[in-house]
Amino acid sequence: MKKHNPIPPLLAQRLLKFFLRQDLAEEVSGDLEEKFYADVKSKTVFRAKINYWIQTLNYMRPFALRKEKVSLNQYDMFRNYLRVGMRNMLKNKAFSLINVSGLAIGIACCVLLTLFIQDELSFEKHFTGYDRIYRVTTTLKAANGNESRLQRASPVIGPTMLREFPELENATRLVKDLSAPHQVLVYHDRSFAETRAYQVDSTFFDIFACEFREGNPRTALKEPWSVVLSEDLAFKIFGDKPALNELLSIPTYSDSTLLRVTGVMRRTQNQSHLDADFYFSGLEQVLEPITTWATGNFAFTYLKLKPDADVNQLLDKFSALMQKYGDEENRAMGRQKILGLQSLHEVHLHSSHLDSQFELGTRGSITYVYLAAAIGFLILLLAAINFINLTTAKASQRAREIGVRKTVGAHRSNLIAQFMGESIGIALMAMLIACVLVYAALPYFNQLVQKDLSIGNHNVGFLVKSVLIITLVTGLISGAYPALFISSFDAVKVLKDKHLQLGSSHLLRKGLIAFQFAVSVILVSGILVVQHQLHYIQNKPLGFDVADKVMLPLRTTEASTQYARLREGVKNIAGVKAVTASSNSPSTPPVSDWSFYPADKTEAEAVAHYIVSVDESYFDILSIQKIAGRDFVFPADGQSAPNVPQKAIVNRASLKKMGIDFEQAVGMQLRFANSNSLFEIIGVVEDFHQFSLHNTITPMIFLAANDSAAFRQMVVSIDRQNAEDTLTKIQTVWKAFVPDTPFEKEMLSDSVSRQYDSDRNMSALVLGSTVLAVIISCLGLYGLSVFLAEKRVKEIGIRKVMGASVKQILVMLTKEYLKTLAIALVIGIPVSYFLMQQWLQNFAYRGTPGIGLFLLAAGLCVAVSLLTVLYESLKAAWTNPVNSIKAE
Amino acid sequence: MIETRLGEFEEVILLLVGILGEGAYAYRIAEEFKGQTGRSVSIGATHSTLDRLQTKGFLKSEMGNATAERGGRRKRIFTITALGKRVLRESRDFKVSLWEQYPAFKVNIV
Repeated sequence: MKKHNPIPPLLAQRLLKFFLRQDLAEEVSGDLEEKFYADVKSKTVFRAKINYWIQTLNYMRPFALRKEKVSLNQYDMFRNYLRVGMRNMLKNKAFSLINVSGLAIGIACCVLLTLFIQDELSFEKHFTGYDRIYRVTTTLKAANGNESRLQRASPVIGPTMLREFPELENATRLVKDLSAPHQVLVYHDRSFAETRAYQVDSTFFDIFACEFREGNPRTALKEPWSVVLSEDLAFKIFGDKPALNELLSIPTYSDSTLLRVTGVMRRTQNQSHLDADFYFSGLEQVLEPITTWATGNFAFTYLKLKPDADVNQLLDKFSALMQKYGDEENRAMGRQKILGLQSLHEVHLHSSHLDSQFELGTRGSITYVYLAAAIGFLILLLAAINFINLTTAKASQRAREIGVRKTVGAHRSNLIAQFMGESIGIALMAMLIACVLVYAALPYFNQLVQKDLSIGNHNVGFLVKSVLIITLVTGLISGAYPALFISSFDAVKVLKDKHLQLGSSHLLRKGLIAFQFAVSVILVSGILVVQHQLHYIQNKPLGFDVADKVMLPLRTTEASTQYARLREGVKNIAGVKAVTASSNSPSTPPVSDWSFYPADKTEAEAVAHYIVSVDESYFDILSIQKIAGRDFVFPADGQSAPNVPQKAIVNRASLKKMGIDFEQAVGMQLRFANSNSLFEIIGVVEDFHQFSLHNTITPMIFLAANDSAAFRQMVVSIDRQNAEDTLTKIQTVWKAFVPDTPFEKEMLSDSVSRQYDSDRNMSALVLGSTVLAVIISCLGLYGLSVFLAEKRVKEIGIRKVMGASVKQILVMLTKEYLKTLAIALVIGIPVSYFLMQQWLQNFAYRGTPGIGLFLLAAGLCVAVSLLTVLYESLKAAWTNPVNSIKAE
Repeated sequence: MIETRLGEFEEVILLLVGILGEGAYAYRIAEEFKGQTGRSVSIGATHSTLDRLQTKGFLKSEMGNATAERGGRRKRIFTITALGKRVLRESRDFKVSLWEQYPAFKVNIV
């Protein structure tokens, strides 16, 4: 078709027309076209088109270019804008400083929070096909309505699903030793305690593809008892030497098995909840005998769907599967078990409804992300408001300029462009300062949000983009209103009328100040409530004594079997008051929950209990109050014989849940769900907070353990005097008895307080942003008060001459602000009250922040802003009226 | 100040304008240049030189009549001015005098 009537390339023609001098257009396009058709005849059409392009480009020579008279003029105008803008900035140095520094702080804050948010949202996205990977969740519904949601499932479920559901491409499981927070690796005579050690199926790296520095991810875990190390761990153990095929042992897991290193994962910036120090294989073999469909919900199970599979169709099949295999078992347990799916990329931020005790990695929270976004936006908004207020307040200074510009022929659009340009220019200036601020503040910010954010190749592109966008948006938000306002001045009026009052934006200014102030009130009362709650947590009686207790984790089988000797050795140290041990000391995660029911009731009424095995005088040492019965007697109560009930102590919550009368509790016999074992209550202890105050106190049952294998923590009560010295001595004893187990110690008080780390982080984040918000608001208020006092300087002078006192003038100047503040308080306090109630819902135990706290916040804000305003007002009120009146 | 010296390329172009007479417009000159010298040159480059020669006063130009080809667009026809002719002549005389001073070629020339 084209061959019939080829024409020169249109784009080239347009280009030619664009740059070519008007008077040359005809002859040149004629010449080129003639050449084109000559080429079409002698060569191919394609060749002719290429030639046309070459010829066109060859016309880009100085003689042929269009000379824009208009553009030159605009350039001059632009230079004029720039010059006037700069002069204006220099003329009002204080105002410019407030504007630029406020915006710089706002932008810096925003950029930091953007970095944080991006990091939080980047989780799991690097795994190929991450949107097809799901985690199996389990919901257990007890007969009494109790519901627990777990992010784990029974081990048998994963493989069965893979076998029965054609939608699945692959499945893998992961188990972390729930009772031991650390796993110890031993290489020759050195041992390393690692927190994140998971045993996994051989298919693990098929779903979660990782880059390996050594070894092959395809085959690394195919053999049982292979181990894949993180790059950091490999370096810690082997230094620069290759790690492949070295042998390690895990005494926490098994004394005899040796693990062969088959891979080292490369260190990356990728974020995942699966951030193990090492993975070891052999899970299939370990889990093979566990065939229960009802209990044993401890395997993290991941499914990968086929690309065309529909997840909802898959979900529909789950209940039938559960019905088919686990119905009988569940009915016997008297509970319902529902399986669900959670998509991989939701694991990090959207898991708050799932059990938090055993989560892998550090769980984030989408609320936290929203909070960060809101704070960043608010602070930027406050800075923009300063800009708007100060610029419109100062607008009358530029009224004459507007008048002249309009008279000479400036369009309103030109003026808008001029003022928008000015504000974007100021925002760009602020951006440069903000970049320095971000760089300087990053380490502190990292501490604040407990992250390891850095600026590097992986995010520099994103960073530049977000900085530019934030800056432009800031410039636009803060510039839009002033530009519209200033450009609307009537040229005739502003030039004719010498004392023109341009106060039409008065109401808006007040509104914006009220908004700023309301935000400050909300943030200040917020931080007060958070502090109040943290104070409450730290001072609430926990039901046990945290003072002067050292916790020594018994991480290895070596340590727990040697516990008896260790105890005797430590006991003999001067300065040690007492030694005991348990499977779960307060603030450490529980082993497991099993259901118990009174022997005279049915299994359907079983209540889940946390089981804790304890050593002698556990309750005495931790000062846990006994309210009925007696303590364990060792070793008699620790012995178990067939047909003799095992002795047990329960807490008050347990009695309440099981409906046992307090008076009749001692001597009551309990049954263990699903078995015939009998337990006899010999004592009751008062409720105490085994876990953080986020959780309610749950039923617990304590058993005396003669066999120390159950113990995971040794608790040593020490004298406060010479504590350091005593600890050194304990370490010496430890090294002598259990040389292969790392000596780690933590004060019980520290361990308890660690449960509130995330609350403290939030508190720090809110505190930081509150301080910034208040500073920015005060800067703006100060600038405004300077301006308003200046504007009324003559009025004040005349008032003073007529006999007004300093006090009267002060009242006159501050009355305005007080009214605005009152409006802000009326809005701010209810909002902050509502918001803080929401936050407090996170705690099962919470203080009740009285209205006094909110009044205090309001008082603080009023005081700070009055002080800000007062300085300038006083200065104005104190000036000698002669000075202000005489000059005209 | 107007540059009045004549470069080699300029000289050739000027001569070609003289040779082509009525048909001397940029495209035709570029084609002729290629025909005569075997070197190809873009129309733009030719045009640029023509423009320069015109500024120097060696050429003058006016738009020709519209023809049916090339979309009815007119051509700019260049003609040599008296000054142009004189410069060409001077250039030739100068070169000839140089040739004559070069002993090796003396015989051939005469």
